[in-house]
Amino acid sequence: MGTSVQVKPLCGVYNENPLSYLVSVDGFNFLIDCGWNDHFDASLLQPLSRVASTVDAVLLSHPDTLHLGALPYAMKQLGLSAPVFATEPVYRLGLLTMYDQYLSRKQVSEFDLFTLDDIDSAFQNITRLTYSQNYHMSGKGEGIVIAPHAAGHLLGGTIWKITKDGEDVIYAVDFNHRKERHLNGTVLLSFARPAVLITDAYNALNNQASRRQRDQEFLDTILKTVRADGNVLLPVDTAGRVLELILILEQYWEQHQLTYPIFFLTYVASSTIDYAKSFLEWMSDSIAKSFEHTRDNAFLLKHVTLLISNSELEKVPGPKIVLASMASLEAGFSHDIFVEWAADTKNLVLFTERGQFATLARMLQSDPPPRAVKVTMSKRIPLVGEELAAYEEEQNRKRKDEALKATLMKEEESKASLGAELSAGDPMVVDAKITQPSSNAAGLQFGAYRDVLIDGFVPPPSSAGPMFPFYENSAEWDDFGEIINPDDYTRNNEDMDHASIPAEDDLNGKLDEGSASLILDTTPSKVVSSEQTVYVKCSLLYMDFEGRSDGRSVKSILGHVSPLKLVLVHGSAEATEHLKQHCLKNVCQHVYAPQIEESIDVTSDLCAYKVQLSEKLMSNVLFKKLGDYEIAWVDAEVGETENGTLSLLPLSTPAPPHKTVLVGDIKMADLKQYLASKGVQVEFAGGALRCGEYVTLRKVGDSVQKGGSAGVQQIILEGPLSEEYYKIRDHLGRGGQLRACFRHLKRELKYSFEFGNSSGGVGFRGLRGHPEEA
Amino acid sequence: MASTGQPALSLKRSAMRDEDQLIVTPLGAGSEVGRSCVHMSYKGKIVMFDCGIHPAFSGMAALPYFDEIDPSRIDVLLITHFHLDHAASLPYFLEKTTFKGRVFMTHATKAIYKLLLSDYVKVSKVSVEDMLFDEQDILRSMDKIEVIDFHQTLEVNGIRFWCYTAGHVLGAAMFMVDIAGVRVLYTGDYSREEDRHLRAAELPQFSPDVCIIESTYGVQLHEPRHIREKRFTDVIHSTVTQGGRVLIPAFALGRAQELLLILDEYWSSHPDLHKVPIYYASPLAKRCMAVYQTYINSMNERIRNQFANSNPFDFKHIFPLKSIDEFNDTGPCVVMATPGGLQSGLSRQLFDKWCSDRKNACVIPGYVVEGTLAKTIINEPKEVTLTNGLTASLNMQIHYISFSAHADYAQTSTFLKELMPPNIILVHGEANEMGRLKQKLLSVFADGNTKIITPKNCQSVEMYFNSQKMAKTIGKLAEKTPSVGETVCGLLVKKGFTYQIMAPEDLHVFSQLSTGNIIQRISIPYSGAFAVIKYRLKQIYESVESTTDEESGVPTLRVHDRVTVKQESENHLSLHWTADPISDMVSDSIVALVLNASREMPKMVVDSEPVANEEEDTKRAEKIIYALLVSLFGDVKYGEDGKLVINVDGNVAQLDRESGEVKSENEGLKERVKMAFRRIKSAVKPIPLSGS
Repeated sequence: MGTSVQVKPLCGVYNENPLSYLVSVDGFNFLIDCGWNDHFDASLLQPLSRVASTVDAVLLSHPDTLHLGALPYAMKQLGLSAPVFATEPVYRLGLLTMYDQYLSRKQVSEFDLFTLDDIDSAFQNITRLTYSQNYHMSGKGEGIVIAPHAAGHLLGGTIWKITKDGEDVIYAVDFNHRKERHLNGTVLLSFARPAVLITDAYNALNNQASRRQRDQEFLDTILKTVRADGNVLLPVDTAGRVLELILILEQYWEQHQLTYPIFFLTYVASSTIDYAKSFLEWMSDSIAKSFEHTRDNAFLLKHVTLLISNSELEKVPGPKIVLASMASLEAGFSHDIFVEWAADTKNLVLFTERGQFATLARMLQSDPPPRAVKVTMSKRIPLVGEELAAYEEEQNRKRKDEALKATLMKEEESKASLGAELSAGDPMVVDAKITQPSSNAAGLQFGAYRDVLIDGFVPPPSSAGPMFPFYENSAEWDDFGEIINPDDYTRNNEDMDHASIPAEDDLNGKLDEGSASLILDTTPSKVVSSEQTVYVKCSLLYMDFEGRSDGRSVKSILGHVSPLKLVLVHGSAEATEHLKQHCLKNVCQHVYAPQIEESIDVTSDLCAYKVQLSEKLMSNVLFKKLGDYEIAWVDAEVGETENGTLSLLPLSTPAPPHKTVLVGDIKMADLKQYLASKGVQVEFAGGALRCGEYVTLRKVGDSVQKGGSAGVQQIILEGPLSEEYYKIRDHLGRGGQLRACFRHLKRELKYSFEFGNSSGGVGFRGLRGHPEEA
Repeated sequence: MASTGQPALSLKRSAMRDEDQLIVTPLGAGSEVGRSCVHMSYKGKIVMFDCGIHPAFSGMAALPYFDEIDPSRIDVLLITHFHLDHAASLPYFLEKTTFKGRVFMTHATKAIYKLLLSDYVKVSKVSVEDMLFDEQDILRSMDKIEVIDFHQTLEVNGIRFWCYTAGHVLGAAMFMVDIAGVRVLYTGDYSREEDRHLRAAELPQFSPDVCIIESTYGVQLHEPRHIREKRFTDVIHSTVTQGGRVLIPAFALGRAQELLLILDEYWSSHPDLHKVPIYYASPLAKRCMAVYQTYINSMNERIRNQFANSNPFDFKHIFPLKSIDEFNDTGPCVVMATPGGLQSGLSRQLFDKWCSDRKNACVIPGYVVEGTLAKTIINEPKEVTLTNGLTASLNMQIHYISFSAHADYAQTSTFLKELMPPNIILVHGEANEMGRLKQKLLSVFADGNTKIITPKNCQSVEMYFNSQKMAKTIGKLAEKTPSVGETVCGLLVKKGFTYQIMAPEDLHVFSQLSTGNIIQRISIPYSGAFAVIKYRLKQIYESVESTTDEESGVPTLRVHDRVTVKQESENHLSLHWTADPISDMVSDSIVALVLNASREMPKMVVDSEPVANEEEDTKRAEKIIYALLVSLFGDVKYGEDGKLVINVDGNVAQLDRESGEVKSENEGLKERVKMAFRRIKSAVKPIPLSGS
């Protein structure tokens, strides 16, 4: 039997919630994506929390919140500890996205789900891979190979291919087959017939206008607004689609020498662009090419100003265009700017992606848009007066508590180690001591002690009473005295490295200085919230710049890839159902759309076994070349090699007869051309090919129809007994072979039609091994 | 068909043996340094590594020996890094030879390749006819070069390859090529030591079967990095604090960037030096800086972490210098200038100016070529000849601190010990140095399982790899795993070097191919009685069934379940069948029969001969078999119990006509008789009866 594959959605099926799926391949659990929404709704992670500890590896596909937002929280709170795999851009831009989320949230609330340190430590151990790098899993996952491939949606965006024993499981969500300014299209089409394909139905019901038309409309709308003295707000993501928007604007501004200021405003704007500059090898061919030829980095922006704080924006008078995060308008600069600009009819808020469910952006995108929305304005202000005093007192008290705890723990520690040594036979005593203090959750400090405790728990080899540590001088001596290890005296290479790297702060300096100071200064502060109603007078517009393949393309891509089994996730219930029905009809018979936590088995019902091809057999096999493939008919006898594997040997008895197999996909048009080149008069008449006066060629059955039982095509050659008939039959391959080029899936394939010779005698049956040597 | 098959077969046999042979031929860099180019063929696939020129020669003489090979047959050309001795004959090879394969290099290599070669074309002072290529050729070659990222696995014509970080310079790669499971690693120039910006060469995950490795430094050992860096900074620091000037002649790309990083960092951590300017005089390097600033991700963790703060290649203390006219020589300073050999140009101008002052210093930071001034001054002569022909006393201090990023003996031997490749081919090294390395490595791999070869240019190394072909049987054919002795029949589908066996019906499931068939329908004029045809057919064929067509109700005959004969109208018969060799044959005979029947119509000869009975049939068949066997083997007799006894040169074989079993002492004869009998049988009864 084939490799066992189970898929269990943890979040994001039959709706547009964040994505998170558990895929187990022969018992090895992959958590593919670990997303969260802009509300950071912990209830969404319930299913994940139940399986987090069983996950063996995490694969991330895109650097946005919906695909990786829950990673820091899951690592810290849910017991997720598996190694994580992602591409370099997903790692970097994902990190920036999380910083931006955190900083935006922290500004307006006492956000405590995770901290910057949690983000850092979650991302720290990501193994970075490049596109089409085959990474061989080790240990439990021995034999599994994972490889990221370009998805085309976001920079570094990934289609994951998991391979075991030659069977492919492909996870492809949010792919884009269209080539864009900064990204190449997805390579999904190059995978044919995977065992399992997991894909999304997000766009199954949407169709897009052509890119050119959309771009023009986009630019026209923006220009119209700024020319009428209005401001344009584009709520964008932190480091994903915004790169494409920036390039569109930058290029247009450059071409037309426009001077309206454009701002890119997130807490990590300059880092984002800096990293984008260094990811050219992940971008489109045209960007790479222009860099190779002129060394002009497309992300050296001349017209877009990078901002990390709102205050600088206010200094600029006149109409302006601002790209600000978050796209959901729930938090971040976009939220504040929206509240400020919404009341002016001249202004425009241009959404470039569908807002997440139940966010302000989604509300504003509804038709008709609401007249007024209630928003919560929150602000972080430093503490003053009594509050400050209270805070300080509180801090003091805490410090004292901690100090007390520390001393207590030290005592406990010594007791514990003592206890451990004395009662080595009864570890329960020690266990109790470990668990007891952990309930006070003294944080980091405590962790250190726990280590010590565990050390102390190791029973000493020789059970004796407690004593001071005594180290035996174990230095070895030889004829020249104590053996010197030269390493002890060499200077550590890293010394000088440290000198050069500016003192690293908690954030490894990954943050822009300004924004860091907002959060990291230790001035005590608090969040003040007020609810207010905003009357939406500005224009609202939604244009699809999501960079996903639209419904029609998705369907045709699925038809091309034609997986043996298809799993649909992520998309509204209607879209999922629609795509499911479509695929059942046109793609394959096995289409699944599981519910949350419903584990489905997509183990292929494919049978397979391995055999060794013996030299003797292979020397008698004549291959026919057909495009990428070479094909031969084999009749063989099963034998066994010394090491017990099956091998195929030549037959010792006459080969049983078999039907002739004609391989290839015939296009009537090509056939016509071929016959015409041979001097036969050919023309199409009523779906058939008329050759000469009387003979007709007809094609029955379509090979394009995949998945079904079809796939066998028939050519019918009809005509009266005449010279012409035999001539055409000869051309079709009688008495030898005809090699004609037919086009197949845009690839040049050579098809050989072989009818063998009809001279009787030694049976030569179609594609078959060469007549054995006498 | 069968007769023409024989020579083809024997040809193929030898071809197959050749295919198992892996041949590696250095076309350059074989027992020499320069013009790296290694040609490799296996299983009919050809890969070439690197395409350099020899810096010591010019024109055609600098090229690798391309005449020895057929460029049009090369599938893939892989370039390891941008240095001239590894990449500079590429425009020539792409534009002026019949090469039509694909070329790959890393992103950074490609970007720098163009700059470096354009510069090379501009500065090389050779006559027009000696020029191997011009600027246009380079631009055209850029369109043909494809890029590969580190670890990215690509497949071209069944050749799989990917690359590892090689250290050495930015974008340098080691290529691993996998053809039908045999892996070859070509290191190019590599360094296992991490430095300020580059990663150390990686240790490949899989051990290769053949390792083609550089041997530039032979058995020499490098000074540890931190010691030489300290020497470097100490010399410079002391010179400038004593009011002297420091000249660093360096090649524009590669190590120069490393030195700049060291200097910039040193200056950052020593504020007292801030008043001493560092100049960097190389327009080419300035242009390449954009590349260095971009491909940060090809560099090491350290640089990438620094990048989080600011781009480390945005130097804070180093200023570009366009020409000596711009240079304001007023006090202590550090100047890094090209060329590295002090042959001419800015570095020489400064050298001439500064060499007599003992306060000044000259630091030579890398490998220097024989015959250049830099090589001369390493020996610290008393006097040197200036550009203007005058002699001057050499008073400035000369320091030789090698920052060359090639592996030394320690790195090479540990690298090989980790990999344990069964075959090691040494290239890119001076012959003596290579010989010493070979001897030393032989003592390391003393178990004798490792072959170490040092081919000269155009000397082929031949290795045999016994490749076992494994096939995967899938789909319907594999529903049950067969046991020994059973037969397996199906389509063997080969893609690249993977084999699959499947039933024809499954072909469209597991491949992008589809199966089809051809139905032939022919109408023949015939106005006689249908029964005549039926009678005649029954005389010839053993199985003729008559039915009536369900739709039209006309009488039909079905011959051997293959060909259907139908009386379409008074004047026409129609035949239809699915094309395959036997049915074609049957239908042809029916057509002939029908034609004959209509021609002989008036005669109405009734064949008096009764339908041949089975016994007679068998007898006749036996006769034919006997006759054919006699014609093949000569001495054939009927033995007891009905067996045929065949005697060839004293070897006796007994053949059971019923079962086809053969008994003989002589294996060869047994096989031959078996095969002959099988063929005779299929000739006597070519149409298998349905159900049999």
